[in-house]
Amino acid sequence: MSVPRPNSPGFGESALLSTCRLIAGGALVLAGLLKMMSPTTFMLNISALELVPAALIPLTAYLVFWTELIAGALLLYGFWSRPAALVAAGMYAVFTLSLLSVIWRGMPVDCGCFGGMFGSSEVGWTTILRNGIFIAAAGVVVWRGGGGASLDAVFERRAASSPSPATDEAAAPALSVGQEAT
Amino acid sequence: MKKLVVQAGLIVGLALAVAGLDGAVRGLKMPDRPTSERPAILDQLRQRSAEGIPQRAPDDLDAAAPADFAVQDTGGFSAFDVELLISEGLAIPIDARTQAEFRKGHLPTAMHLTLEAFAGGAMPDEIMMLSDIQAAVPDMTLVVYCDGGDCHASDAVGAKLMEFGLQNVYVFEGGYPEWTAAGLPIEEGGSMYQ
Repeated sequence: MSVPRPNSPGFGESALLSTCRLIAGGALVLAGLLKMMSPTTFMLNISALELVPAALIPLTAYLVFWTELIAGALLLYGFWSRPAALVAAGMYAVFTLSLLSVIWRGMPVDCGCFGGMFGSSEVGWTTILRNGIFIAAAGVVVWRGGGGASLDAVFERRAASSPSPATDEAAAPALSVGQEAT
Repeated sequence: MKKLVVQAGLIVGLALAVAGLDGAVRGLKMPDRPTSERPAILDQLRQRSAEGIPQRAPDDLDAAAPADFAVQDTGGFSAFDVELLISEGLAIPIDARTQAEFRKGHLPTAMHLTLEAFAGGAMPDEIMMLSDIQAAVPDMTLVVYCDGGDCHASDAVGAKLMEFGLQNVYVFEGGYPEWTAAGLPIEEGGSMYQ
């Protein structure tokens, strides 16, 4: 039987956190998949930004979409929600700074966001606003965790409901609280 | 907090390891880029038609250009070179600008093709069309252009054309601004290839 936790999120907060996870994680997975299917297109997008040395562009491209896929998948499942959200927020922040630098330099550049799936995505304030929403969603998860519908919560509930040394003393008298914690 | 940062670092580390493996399997290299040098066939054309077609050097462009447009000597080929190739039926201009810009005005006989058409690894119909044309006319050059200056779309679309095995891909660096500044004719509306 699960033990109620005083700081466990209520239904409303849980729904909000799940929504934030789905927004931040879903966008990352979608963007990562589309880039992975056409890495050369993404390399050309990175090249157009003129922010990364040419020799590092291929590795940067592969690192970006694999980080998007791994962090996004973790967020969707709600496993290691907070660190995955921290990585997601960091990535969105880096993207946003890159886009701001492009706007500041007045470059007519396609951002390559979502692999161009939604048509032309020339860098502009709409792109910045969209990234702002993703950063906020990821930030909420960093702050409050993945919510009740996450794998993190399932593991927490399982750990909380497993027999404690005190109740199972007869069966395992030598087991201490310290050993349980490790 | 420290645990959070360490776990985030582990996620990035895992991504780096997988990226390295994936890159090793698929080959970590930039796609080949199109050149902005003058196509060699231009010299043959000029020799062949020395008396026929009026020739103007890129430097003469400054005189034809409006005051607010500075023609740069990019070391590539000029709007008049592109015009010569088109008029000889030896070039297909490929417009890498947006659909709205294309409809407003584009080089005669231009095809509209942007980087978005290659989204998710797709092969646009235009590739097959261009491939068939080059099979029939091996000397056919593909001249990709956009808005000139800082515009990278032509470079990117040119690289994608080369990735799909098309030959003789060139970038017209001056792009549409140089073409119109030179007073050369334009076409409006949709593409003749659609």
